[in-house]
Amino acid sequence: MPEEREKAEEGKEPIPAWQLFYDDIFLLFFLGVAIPTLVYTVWGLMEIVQIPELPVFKP
Amino acid sequence: MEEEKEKHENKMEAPGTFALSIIFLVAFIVMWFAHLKWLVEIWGVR
Amino acid sequence: MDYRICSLTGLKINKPAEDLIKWNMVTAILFLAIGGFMGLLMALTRWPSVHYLDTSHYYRFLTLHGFDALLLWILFFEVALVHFTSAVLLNTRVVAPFSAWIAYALMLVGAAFVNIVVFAGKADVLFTSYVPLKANGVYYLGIIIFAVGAIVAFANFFANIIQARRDKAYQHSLPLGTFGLAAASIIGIVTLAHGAVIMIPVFFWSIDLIKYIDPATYRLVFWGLGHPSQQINVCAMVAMWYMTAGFVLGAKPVNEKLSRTAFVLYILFINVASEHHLLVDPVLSSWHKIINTSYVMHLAVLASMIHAFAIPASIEVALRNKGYTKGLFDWLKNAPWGNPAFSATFLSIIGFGFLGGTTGVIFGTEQFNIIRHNTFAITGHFHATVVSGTTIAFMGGTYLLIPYIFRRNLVLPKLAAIQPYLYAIGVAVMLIGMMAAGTYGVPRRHWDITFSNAIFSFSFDPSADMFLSMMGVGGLFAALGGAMFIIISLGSIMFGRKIQ
Repeated sequence: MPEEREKAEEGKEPIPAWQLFYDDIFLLFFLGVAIPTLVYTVWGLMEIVQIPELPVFKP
Repeated sequence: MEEEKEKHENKMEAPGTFALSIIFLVAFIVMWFAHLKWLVEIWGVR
Repeated sequence: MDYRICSLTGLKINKPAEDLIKWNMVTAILFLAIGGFMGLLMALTRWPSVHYLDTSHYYRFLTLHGFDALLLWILFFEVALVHFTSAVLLNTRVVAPFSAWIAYALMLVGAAFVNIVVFAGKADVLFTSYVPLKANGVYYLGIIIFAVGAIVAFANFFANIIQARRDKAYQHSLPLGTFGLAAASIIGIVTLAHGAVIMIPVFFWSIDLIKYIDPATYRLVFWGLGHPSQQINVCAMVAMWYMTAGFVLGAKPVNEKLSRTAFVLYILFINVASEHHLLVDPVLSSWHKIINTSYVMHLAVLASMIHAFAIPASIEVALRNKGYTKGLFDWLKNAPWGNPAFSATFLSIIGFGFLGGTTGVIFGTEQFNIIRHNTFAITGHFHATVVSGTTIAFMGGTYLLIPYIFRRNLVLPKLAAIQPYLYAIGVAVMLIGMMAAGTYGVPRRHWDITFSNAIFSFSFDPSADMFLSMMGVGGLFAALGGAMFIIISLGSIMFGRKIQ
């Protein structure tokens, strides 16, 4: 809210921690890449790899 | 001044949108059950 | 540094940014025209009484419709938005115009490769190009080149933001529209990284340098490209809603903290929704399916719920401040419904929310998915999100940016005022037809549901035909609305009265 920022700039109140988190676009970038990559892609690949190959199939 | 400010802070700023959200919630629930009824009749879902 | 001050908004507009926005937007509209025309041919073919195209052309043009409408129209427009929100909205400049133009060139070359090879009949593999279907190598090469171009474009966004921070163009927090496009760009990087990881080996497979691509792995990683690419759209579309409400009405978000929280929920949790494409795959465990589609994704659905009501609330507050305070809905009655930028935004919110988003969440649950999988209802869902949602929102954005960036007034303003309505109603009718037909089991991506040359005969419930006709009629009106948009937008850009 504009009032908070004004106060923060005057030095009366620190910027809230959540705002600092939301403002850090590169931390968000890192988490936004890491979380889906781990929870969806890497975990999915781990499950696929655990399925044994059919013995007859030779690519 | 303080009273006025408090009154302003407690007032809902967007009552129309709130009303719309209730209307849509009710409409959605009604449509959902109507749709379930259709599922039962067409698909034989028990 | 060459700037002009926009006489309508007061924003400082950097010349390279302006040129980049113009070229990306016009390219987007041209691909919408092609993709949209292909869509019309699809509707005319799936409409049983018309059944226009023959088999091979149906699958060919379906591939093209998917690629041009879903990927090209939307991504070129989003790159235009990326330049708008980073350079123009922050009153700063494009840091590296040369790289932004390289990005444009790569995207265009990749798009051309794909279009040409599909038109030539060498890649009837549909937008998903599932292995072991094998297209001509140029198809995959085109996608890779396009994806690299798009990555460079999104990287430009982040470079512009860093430069803007150094130039002190903003303090601490980005404006909300830019924040939304930042969410979109982050998701864009996830999307394109997955695309590169899977398309590069598939390209080598298509030219016989790699022997075998595992279909399960392909599907997992492809959908890491395929679904997040739609979530880029969601973030850009929602940002567009906030921006249009802001520009047209001076609306401010009712609660910045809440709106930004919703965008952060998108950034962290929306990409795993890709799982819903894999719900019927035997390889993945129930844990993987439930945690991804249910627990994690629903946090992102929460974000959509927040935006869905935050934006109408901000519009209401803005209109109440303008004096429309009688009763509950005076503001709604007196909203600028004749302004196509505004009406497109509102129609997009309703279309995306009620037709698209809800059906997506419902169909994404395992129990429901098995009933709806591969039916026309799925087609209904995603057209609801990307057509009645994103496309209409971007049409509204075009109406906004033509005066601001192209400095032209709209031609045929009366037609422009009704175009969003005509398009939205046509699309809605089409969608209901699709979803209802899907309920009867009508399959998607299927040329002939009468199975005319099959060994066994099968007929669907006659209601299915009725709903498919409904889809056809809706599709005709949608095509009309779409054609109107193309004519009005390109006509305004070329012939509109100039604004000083």
